[in-house]
Amino acid sequence: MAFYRSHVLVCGGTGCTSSGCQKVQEALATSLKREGLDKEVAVVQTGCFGFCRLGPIVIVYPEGAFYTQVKPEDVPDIVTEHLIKGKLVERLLFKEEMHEKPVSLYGDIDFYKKQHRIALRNCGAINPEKIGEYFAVDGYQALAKVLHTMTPQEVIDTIKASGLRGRGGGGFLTGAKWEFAARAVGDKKYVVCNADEGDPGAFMDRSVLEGDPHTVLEAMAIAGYAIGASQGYIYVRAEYPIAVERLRTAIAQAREEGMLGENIFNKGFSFDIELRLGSGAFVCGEETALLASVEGKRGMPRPRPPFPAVKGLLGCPTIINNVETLANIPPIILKGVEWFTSIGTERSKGTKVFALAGKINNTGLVEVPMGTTLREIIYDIGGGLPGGKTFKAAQTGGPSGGCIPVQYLDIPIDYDSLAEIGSMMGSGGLIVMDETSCMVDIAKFFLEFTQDESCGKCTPCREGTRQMLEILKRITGGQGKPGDIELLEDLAETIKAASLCGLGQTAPNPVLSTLRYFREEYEAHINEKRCPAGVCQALLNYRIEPEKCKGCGLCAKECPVGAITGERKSPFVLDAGKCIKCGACVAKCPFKAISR
Amino acid sequence: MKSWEELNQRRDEERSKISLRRSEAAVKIIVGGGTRGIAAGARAITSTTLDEILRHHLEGKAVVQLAAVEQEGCEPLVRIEQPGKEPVVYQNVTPERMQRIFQQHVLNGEVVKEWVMAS
Repeated sequence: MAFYRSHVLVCGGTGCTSSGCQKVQEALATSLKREGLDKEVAVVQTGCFGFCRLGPIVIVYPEGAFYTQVKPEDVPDIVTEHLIKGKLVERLLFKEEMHEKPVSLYGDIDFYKKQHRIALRNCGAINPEKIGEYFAVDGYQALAKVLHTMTPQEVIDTIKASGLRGRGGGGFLTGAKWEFAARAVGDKKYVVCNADEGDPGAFMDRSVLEGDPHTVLEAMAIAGYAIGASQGYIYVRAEYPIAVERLRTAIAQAREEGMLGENIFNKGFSFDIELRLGSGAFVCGEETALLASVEGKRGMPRPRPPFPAVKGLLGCPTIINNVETLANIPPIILKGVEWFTSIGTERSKGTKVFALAGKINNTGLVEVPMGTTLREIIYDIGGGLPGGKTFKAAQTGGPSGGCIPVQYLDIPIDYDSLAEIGSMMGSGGLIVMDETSCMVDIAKFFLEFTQDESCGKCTPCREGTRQMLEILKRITGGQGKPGDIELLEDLAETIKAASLCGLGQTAPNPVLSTLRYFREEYEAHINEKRCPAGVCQALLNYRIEPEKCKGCGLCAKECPVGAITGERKSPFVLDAGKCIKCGACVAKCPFKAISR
Repeated sequence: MKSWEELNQRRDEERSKISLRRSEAAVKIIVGGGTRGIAAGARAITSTTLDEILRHHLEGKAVVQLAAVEQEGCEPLVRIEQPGKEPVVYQNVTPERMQRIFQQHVLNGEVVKEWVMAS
């Protein structure tokens, strides 16, 4: 066995893969070999570190030096300076904007210090393709513990007492779900992992699958023991090729080591897992549609009851848990109910992973205790908004959720507080918007998504969302008329009331919540034919303000259609008839003389 | 694997391989790198140290780190840190001396006084 004095961890999540981590890893391997260090320094590919804005990320241990945006050209410096001479490569070290000195060490970075990682505990810390590294961090200890020391009912009681709620959107008590399935009568029972992550911008499940696949397998086996199932399925979307590959590797290794298969630990319990690949239909994240798809049928929801816990896959009692939910199970078993319930709020225990996107500095994945405020997430961890822009609202819960305006920046976020203000936890997508975001346009964006993803079974969802979208298109296109808002509200109520599944029942939420908090923006669009945020093109009227124009002519040079004319040193004029509203002149004008 | 004991054994083995990522090590051996340290033979000291760790099965308990600390005329430098003890710096270390430092200081807790750098 070799002993490595240093481990160089390279992020291998989807984000860093697309920014070129593979090449960095290859360059490291070549360079280490050339310097004769390949027996002293190990290169380890890991899952996502969550700090996707600055990928590819490389962490060098034992120091814990945190290098960001590493390119293959930077590798020789890391090798000759850091790994040979012991000098940190300052220029690559992560710098926090508020600190003058670079923050070199992983543990010192604000982005990580304020997080509490349970579901993501191993992401970025271990090699997901080696079961050995999972063993090293107490992997499969929870499974061993339940098989050796707990009855199935004790497992269920533990999960119930922990207060763990489903992290995929609904927020249903996980332990209660398990208990229903355990009590249901059936020859066979199934455990299904819902890895059909579909909210635009959310990628926490992908990150767990890519960074720590064994935790999902272990949790599924524990669930199988609890409810009396011997077969599990992971329904994962084919658009996650890295996740699928790592799951395949993990399942094969787990079988080889006896963590899956017949008679695990000689305790008379057998459990195996297979993958089922989905094609990325949003509706297949809905549990009954998901089960239909696993069975090879068209992915469409069916009425409940019977609930899947009673009549699920192939008519047998089935539990369906989301990836992030499952990732919480092994720590709860090992560290206990008291530990888990000490984190979070009264009715929402533990942590939640959020995917930060939109107008925010540190885009990426963060895991915080329930009850953390939006302000802490956005400003302390997310690093605030770029360009000193002002926060306007945040969209949570993706296309099923709603927006949170600035007056709620300080409410503690949990399942119930979000529902109270008309949004929802959802799967944890968090899109930040500033004053240049048009709320009508945002609502239109999400409605376009749900309208496109409606499976078509229920008329209100299929036709109603289409009608709502038409109205929104009209409003943003400058053709809005009085009564449109009322019609939107009317349609929204009908769709919510008369749709079968969660997709339809929540599809109008983005419209309703933007109407609730930003009604005046809708009114400005309809009554004044004006888009306050300056986004909706049809409502923009570009005009050069003569008193501000210095006659430099930069705008005229920039205009692609020659709509701006004038003499130097006197105010220029914009021909609205020719203008295509591209905004190029506004970006160029040094005097902010062009209004829209 | 068919028993919990086997799993525990595997965990301990595997943990020693990644302990340096978790700053759990009981002893930290810091070799003075830098341009001068490398020129004076710090790399040979590093590999000797690694060999010693392997030979005495201290994987997971000891960490070897390079650092750019320099002191003219004293290279190669080796600094040994153990929790609860004053760090000790040795000067003009050779691979042979390193072996004795390892045996006497790291394993038996006795400082090799004659090679300690004069402060």
